[in-house]
Amino acid sequence: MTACQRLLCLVIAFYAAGATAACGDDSTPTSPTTTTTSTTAAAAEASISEAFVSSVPVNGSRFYAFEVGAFGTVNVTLNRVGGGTVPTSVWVGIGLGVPEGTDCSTTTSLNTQAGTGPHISTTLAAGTYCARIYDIGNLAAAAPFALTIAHP
Amino acid sequence: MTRLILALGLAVAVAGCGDDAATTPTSPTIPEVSVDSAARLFSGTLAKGDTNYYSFTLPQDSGVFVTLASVTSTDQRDATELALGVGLGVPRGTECVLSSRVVAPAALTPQLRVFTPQGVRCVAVFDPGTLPAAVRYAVRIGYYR
Repeated sequence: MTACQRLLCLVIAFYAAGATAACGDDSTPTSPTTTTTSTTAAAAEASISEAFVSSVPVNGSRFYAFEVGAFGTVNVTLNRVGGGTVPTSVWVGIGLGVPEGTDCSTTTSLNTQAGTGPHISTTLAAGTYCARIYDIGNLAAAAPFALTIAHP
Repeated sequence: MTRLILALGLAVAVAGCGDDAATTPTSPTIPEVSVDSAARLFSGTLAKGDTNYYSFTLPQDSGVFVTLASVTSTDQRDATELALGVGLGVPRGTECVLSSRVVAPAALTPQLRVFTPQGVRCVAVFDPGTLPAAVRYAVRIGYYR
């Protein structure tokens, strides 16, 4: 082997070593971490209150649509109903559901008088819902009412 | 000679680096959308100066196609060329809060085509201020499901 050939071998070996050293992960290894994900979220409080004030017709209904911003508690309270020719002790139906077609398709409903409530209290996922009030056959005239919907 | 040796060494070093695993370019992910479509028919009587609306649940992000298909006199004897307002939005309170709207006469093709996120949506029909009297209307709402 000539001197030139020896020099060539030396240079190739030098660069090959450099190439190997240059390759690989530059970042410093870190210890593995464990992430625990909880599948049950806490229900948010009913922090937003909306007032639905209108009049329910004889044999009719009214509804009000609202947006629940996060999974949480939704309360519906019939604060006041009746007045004039309709006694304030009158029983009407109220419900909670989803707007569908030209009405509110309720999944929860009950008959009640006005009071401090809440008359309906449940937990709902984020989305659009509706509260409905309707005559259950007791009204002889349109009845003014005030309904409060509290939600996250 | 020295330059040749240095260049050769550098080429060896560079060739040794790089991604070891051969990767094949991939296409962007396209959301899977069912070819099935759904249609709702919303019809009624619109009084002068009034607004009516219809709610529905969009099961996935989809194009929504709103067609004002028919506007007639209230006795439904005469078709009219009167333009009505139609819009798409979300039910809030006692109204449909519109994000898109158009004023147009009845037609066989959609007057409104809007890509819409899933959720409860509503379509409203309203008097644009030009109705001389009440009319009957029929609106077709189409979307993918």
